[in-house]
Amino acid sequence: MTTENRNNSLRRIKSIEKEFLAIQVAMKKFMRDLENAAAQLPPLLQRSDFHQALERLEGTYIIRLFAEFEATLRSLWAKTKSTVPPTRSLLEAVSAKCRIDVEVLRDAQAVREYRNGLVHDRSSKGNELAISRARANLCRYLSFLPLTW
Amino acid sequence: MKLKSAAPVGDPEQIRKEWLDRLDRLLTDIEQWTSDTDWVTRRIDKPMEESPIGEYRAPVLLMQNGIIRLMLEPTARFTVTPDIEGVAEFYRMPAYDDMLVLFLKRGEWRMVSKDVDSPSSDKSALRVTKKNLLNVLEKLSRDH
Repeated sequence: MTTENRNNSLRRIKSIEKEFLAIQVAMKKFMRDLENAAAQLPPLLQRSDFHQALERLEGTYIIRLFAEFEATLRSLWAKTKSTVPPTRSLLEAVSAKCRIDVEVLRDAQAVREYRNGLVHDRSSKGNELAISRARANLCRYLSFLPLTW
Repeated sequence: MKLKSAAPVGDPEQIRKEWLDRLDRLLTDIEQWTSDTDWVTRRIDKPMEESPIGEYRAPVLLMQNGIIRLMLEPTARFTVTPDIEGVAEFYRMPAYDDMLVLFLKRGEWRMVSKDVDSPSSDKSALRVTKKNLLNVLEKLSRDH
């Protein structure tokens, strides 16, 4: 079994946020170029496809962010346990094991709930969570994990 | 597929060595500048991979003053801007919040606040000197 490293997990989380920012910048530029007739729509795609993709981009990357976070927790869990707890319980159990502050746990659970809303309800209206806030909440939680496992 | 950044001119090993020397000098400067302040520092390293110079481990500086924790992490030796000779970033930890971007240009480190909607320019960049860096750190401590 390979050794996992907390710092590497933190960097992977941060790099997903950076990927989002890079894609967002590129998409906004492409949309501007479309408006100015400096770019052409690729075959089979409409302007509305790009608008929708841009609108949902942040949520899509929050789903990825949380997937990376959850994978880290599951790899830690699997070092000592053979069970596969639901994600909510996993966050609570790791929090207890690593003595994570209750506010930090609450903030990470908020990202999980938001992710669930995106995945299951396909909507997040009225309760927007910025990817920078989601990344910060998850990184704070991960900072309580052991350096390696 | 790996993106190609500004093409290096010269021996990749030599470029990597010079880049790591530059980083070492930057970190050593900051360690010295903060040595008579309440900031404590510690080095770790991180694995990096850039297509022109391959895999290497680069030094990272952790800084702490009370409950404020920062990390100075090298980002890349090569960027799309040919005259930038390397980039490092300051983050607030443990949240990994963006704070400052440091870039090396004509052998001199400069720093600029990070704001993705307002691309950094040379005009707003400050030289990384003891005075400028300690000002930033002091402001950070005050605002916290």
